Amino acid sequence: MTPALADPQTVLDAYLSELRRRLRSLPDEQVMDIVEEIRSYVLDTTGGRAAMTEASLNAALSRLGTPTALAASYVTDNLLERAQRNRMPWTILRAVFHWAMLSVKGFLVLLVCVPGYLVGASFFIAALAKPFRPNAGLWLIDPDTYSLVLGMTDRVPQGHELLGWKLIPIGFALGGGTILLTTYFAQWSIRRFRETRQMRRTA
Amino acid sequence: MTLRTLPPSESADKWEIQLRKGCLELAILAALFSGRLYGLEIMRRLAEDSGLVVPEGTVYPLLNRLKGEGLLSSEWVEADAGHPRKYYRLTAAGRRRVIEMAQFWQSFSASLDDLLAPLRKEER
Repeated sequence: MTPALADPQTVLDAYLSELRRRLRSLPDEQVMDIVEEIRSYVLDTTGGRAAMTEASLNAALSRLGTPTALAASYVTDNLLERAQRNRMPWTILRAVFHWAMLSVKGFLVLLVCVPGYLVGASFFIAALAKPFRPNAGLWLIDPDTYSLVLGMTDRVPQGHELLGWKLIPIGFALGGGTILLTTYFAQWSIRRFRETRQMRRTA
Repeated sequence: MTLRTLPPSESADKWEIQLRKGCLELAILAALFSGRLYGLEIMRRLAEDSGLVVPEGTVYPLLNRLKGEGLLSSEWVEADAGHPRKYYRLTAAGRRRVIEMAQFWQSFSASLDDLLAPLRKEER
């Protein structure tokens, strides 16, 4: 009797179901195709269901890499391709986030995109909140310190507010501009990255 | 499947790895030129014919991308092994693409050879 925990078949199933879970952003049909292909590869290199041992299975799985890393290679290209066509910040952030897990370049782009979208969204929220929350605005605390109050709480900073009702047009313009710029930057980086990868695949 | 290239020497290092990676797409398409193969066969073909040993975790996603780009098609085939295998073949577009790539490769390496000729004399 082999103990249930070390049963290679169970280990393989666990690996594949983790892979399936990590691939879930792809179309179902493609996920099944990928998972079955990996199963087929493992069965081929381990001598099939009957002959598979813990050692041969571990060797095969280590050549494939962790389910997370393997899924990331499949998913990232798909997400980046979608982000190139779609301008929604959410789509772009998701793609860049996956890219960041794969390469330093992706991580650097993420470092620009996250603050970019956060700053953009903050201006937007402050402008939207202004009619209902008089404390929303750009506050001058002391000669060197500004504070953008979004109006989510009743907090009124020490100091005086600089923009008044002008916050609404300025907030929308700055917020929209920052978000657009961030989006253009992300799409430009993605396009460059994917174009060079057509010729020179980085793994 | 234990075939592995020697770890790259200090000096050959990164450049050689980049070069191998750059050729991977061409090598995969070329391996499929004479007929359908499944993933493991492709990797074995690359290792035996060109010494190009690539991790599985790179080849399978790359095959998936080439299929997404319409250069490859795939089909599941029942095998004696007891489990089905996913075979890839070149599409018409893939066939055109690999021929173009091979032509470029040949003219590029020929002109590079001219440039490298003096170095070979030096070596002797």
